[in-house]
Amino acid sequence: MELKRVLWIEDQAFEDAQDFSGPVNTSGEYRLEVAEDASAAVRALAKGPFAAVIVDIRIRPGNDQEWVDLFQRRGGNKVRARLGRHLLYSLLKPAAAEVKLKSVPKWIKPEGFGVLSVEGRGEVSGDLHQLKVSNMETKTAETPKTALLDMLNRITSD
Amino acid sequence: MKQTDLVKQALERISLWDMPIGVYAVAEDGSFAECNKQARKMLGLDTDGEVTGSMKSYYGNLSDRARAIANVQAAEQKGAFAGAQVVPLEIDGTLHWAEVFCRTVRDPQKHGVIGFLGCIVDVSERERLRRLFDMLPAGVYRLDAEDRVVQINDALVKLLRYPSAESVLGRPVSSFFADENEAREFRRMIIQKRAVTNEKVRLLRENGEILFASVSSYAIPTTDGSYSGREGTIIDVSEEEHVRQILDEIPLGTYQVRIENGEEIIRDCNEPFLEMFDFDSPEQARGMNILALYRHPERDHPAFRRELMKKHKANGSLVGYPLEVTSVKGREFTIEVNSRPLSGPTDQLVLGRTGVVRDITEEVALWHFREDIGKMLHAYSSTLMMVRHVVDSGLELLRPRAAALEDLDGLDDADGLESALRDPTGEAIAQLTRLLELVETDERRKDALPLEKWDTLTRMLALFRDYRHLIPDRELWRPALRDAARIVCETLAAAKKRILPREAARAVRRAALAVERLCCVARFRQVRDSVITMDHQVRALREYVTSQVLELERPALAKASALITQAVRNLADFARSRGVDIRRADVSEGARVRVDERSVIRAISNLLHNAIKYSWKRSDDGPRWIAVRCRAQQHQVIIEIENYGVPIPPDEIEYDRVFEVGFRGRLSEDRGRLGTGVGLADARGIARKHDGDVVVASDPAVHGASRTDFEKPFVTIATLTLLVADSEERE
Repeated sequence: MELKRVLWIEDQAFEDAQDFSGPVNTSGEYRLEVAEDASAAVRALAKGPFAAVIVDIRIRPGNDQEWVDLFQRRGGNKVRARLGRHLLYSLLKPAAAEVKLKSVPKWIKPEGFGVLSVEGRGEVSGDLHQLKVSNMETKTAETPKTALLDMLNRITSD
Repeated sequence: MKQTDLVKQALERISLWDMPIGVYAVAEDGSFAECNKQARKMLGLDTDGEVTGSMKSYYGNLSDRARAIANVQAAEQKGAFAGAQVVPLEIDGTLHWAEVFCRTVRDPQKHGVIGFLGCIVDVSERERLRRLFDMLPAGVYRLDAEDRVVQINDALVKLLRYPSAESVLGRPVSSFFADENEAREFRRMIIQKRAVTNEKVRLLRENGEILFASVSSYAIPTTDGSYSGREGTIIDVSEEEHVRQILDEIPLGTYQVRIENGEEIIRDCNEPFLEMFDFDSPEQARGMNILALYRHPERDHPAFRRELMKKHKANGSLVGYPLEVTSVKGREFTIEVNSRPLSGPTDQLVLGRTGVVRDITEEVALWHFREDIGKMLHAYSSTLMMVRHVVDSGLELLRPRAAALEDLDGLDDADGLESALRDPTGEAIAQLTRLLELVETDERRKDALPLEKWDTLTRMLALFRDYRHLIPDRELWRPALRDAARIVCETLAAAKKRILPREAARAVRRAALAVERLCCVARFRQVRDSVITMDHQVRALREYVTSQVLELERPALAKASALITQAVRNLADFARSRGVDIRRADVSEGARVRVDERSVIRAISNLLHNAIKYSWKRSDDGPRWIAVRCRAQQHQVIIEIENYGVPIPPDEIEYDRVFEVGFRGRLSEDRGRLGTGVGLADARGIARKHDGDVVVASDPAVHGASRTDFEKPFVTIATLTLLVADSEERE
C-alpha cells in the first residue's frame, strides 16, 4: 500500500516532540516529512502535495529573508513572532498575509491543515476561524503521543 | 510801570550766584574760581570764604571729566551748548550722581578756553532708580493708556530678543502676547483689580518663540481714577513652566503640608497629586489633614516622621520612602515619598514639609512577583533534581541489559545510534522472520492472533528492515523503532498460549526488547541532557530574578582564576553531558578583582553555559571543546570564552540585541537548544555594575567564508572585562 505523504512543521520534531512521530511511522499509513522552520516549510510545501499538513505556531524563520525580517519585526523570538500563524495566512489567506509567497500550491486547502501547538485553543481560535482550519490540538504534558497520528487520521479521513 | 519792567530792574540786583541751583566756575585745570552756596553744599565745601580745591578731586576716574569736557567743546564748535550730562562724583567717600549743564569760559582776547562755568544738581536718587530700571535682571516696562509700550528696560528687550528698545517702543503690548485674547484678559484684570502679582502669561519673542513669563503689574490711574496705563515687571519662568508641564505629564505629585494646631494640613498640591488621590478639586485637598491619606496612620506616621526628622537633622531630604496610602475614594496603593521639612526661624522648629510623591504600586507588585518567581524557580530546580535522579536510576537499570556497547556516549547522535541499533534490529528481523515463516508453514498457528495482528507483525518486520528508507529523517528512526519493538512485544504477549512456537516467540520478544531498551537508553540520555540543561537555565534564571530583588553583596577581593575555576566546576556536569571539554589557559598571574563573587561567578557561568550549549564538533572524530582564556592587561582582567559552532548573525551583535533581556537569537534554538534569553544580559549587567563589560564577536570559523552562511560553523568569543583591584588595595 502506498503511504500518504504528510508534512509536520515543528521545530521540536527532532527533540522534545519526537515521540509524537513513533505512532505515525509505525502506523503503516503515512510517510512523515518534517520541516523545522518557516523557510523549510515553504520549500517542502512546494514539493507537495501532502495528504495533511500539521503546523506548530511557534517556529523559527529559517534562512529566507522575508521570514527572518518578519521574525525580527515581530519581536525576534518565536514565542512573540508566532511564525506558524503567519505561515498559515500566507498559505490559506494570502490577501491578509504579511509574507506573500511567490505562489501557493493549488492542492493547499484549509481542510488539509491542522495545528498542533502549545497555544491554548482560545489564543488561536480567531485566526483558525478566519483561516477555516478546524483541526487544532494543544500540546501539554498530558497530550498522548498518538496526538499527531490522531490528527492525521482525522484530516485524511474527512 | 509794568510789572515785567519791575522784574527787569530787580534782575540787575540778582547775581548769577544767587540761583537756587548749584553754580560753579573752574579754571581749565579744574581749580575752583567760584562756587555758590548750593554747589558748595552739594560738594561738601565750606559755605563761606574763598573757595579752594579742584573739581578734579571729585572724579574717581578723570576720564569721566575729560569725556564731559569733550562733549561741551564739541557742542560749542557746532554753535550750541552741550545738554545735561550725568557724571559720577565721589563726595565724602560716597558715590553721587550729578547732572551738569556746562559751558566754556574763554579768554576775551585770545578766545582760548580758560575755564568752565556750569550748573550742577545732585540726581543720585533719580539715577539710582534709572540704573535699577536698566540693570534689573527682571524686565521692567511701562504702557500708556492705549497699552502701547512707552518705556522698557534692557533686560526686557533682551528677554524678548529684540535688537533695541527703540524697536519695541510705541508698539501695542498685545503684539507681544502669544494670544491676543490673553492680552485683552490681562488688561481687563488689571483695570478691575488695579494690580496683579505673578500672573503667568505666554509672550512671543521676536523670533516667534514662546516665552512663559510671570508678570506683576499695577495700573497707573489718572486724577479721576481712570486707567492711564500700567507699569510692571516680567520674569522669565519658561524653565520652571517646562518643568511644571513635564511634571504634570509624568505623574509626580507635589505637595506642601503645614503644621497647624499640631495637625499636618495640606496647603498646596499639583494636578497629578490630586489625580493620584482621586480629589475632585484642589479645594477638596487643601485644608485636609494628610493623615487621612495614610492607609495605616497609627503605624506608619510615627515611623515616617522619625525618618524625616533623622534626615532633617543630617541636613538632608528623605528620599524614596515607600508608604501605603489610600485615596479619598478608598483606593489603596503605594507611593514613594521624597520629602524635606520646612524649617522655622530655628531648625528645631518644623513648620511643615514639601515633597514629591510617585505611585509605585506596580513596582511593588513587580517586586513581589519577582520574589514569587524566584520561589517557583527554586521549586522547579528541586523537581529537576528529582527527575535527574530518577532518569539516572532508569539508565542504570537499563544499562547492563542494553546491547553490548562499550561507550553509551555513542548513542547521543544519530550516527552512533544507527550503528548501535544495527545488531539488535538485525536480530529482531531474523527472529521475527523465523516466527512468521513457522506460522506460514502451519496454518493452525495463525489462530494464535487475529489476522490484523499478523498484518501488524508483518508491517513491523518491514519497518525493522526498511526504516532507513521509510522514514526520511534519521532523528525519527529511534522513536519509530522503539514503538515498533513495543508493538511486537505487546502483540505477542496477547497471543494465545500453546499455539505459537514458544521458543521462537520468546526469541522475537527478546530481540524486540533489546531494540526497545537501546532506544530507551538513547532517549533517557537525551532527557537527562535536557534536564541538566534546564537545571542550569532554571538556576540561572532564579539567580537573575532574585538578584533584581536583593542588593549586591559586599565586594570582596578574589583571584580571577579562582572565579573561573568555580564557574567551570558549576558547569562540569553540563559540559560532560554535552561531551564538551573545557580547555583553560591562564596568564593572569594571580590578578585580583574586587567583586561580588557570587554575581561574577554567575556571569562567567552564563558565558560558559552558552559556549558549551552552542558547540559543534570541530572534526568528525575529535571531541567538542571550548577555550577559556584569562589574562591581565593594564588595569583589566580579560576573560575570553571561545566556542566553535552555532553562529550569531552579525545584526544581532551589531545592535546589541543579544544583550536584551529575553532575546533569543534566531539560530539559538539550533537542535532544540533551550534558553531563557537572560544569560548574556545578566552577564553584561553584572560586569557593568563592576565597571567592566561583556562583548561578543562571532565570525566564520573558516577564513574567508561567508558571514551569512549560517549552516557553517562560526567561532564565537564572549569577552568579560573586570577592573584589576589596585595594588594598594591588594596590600
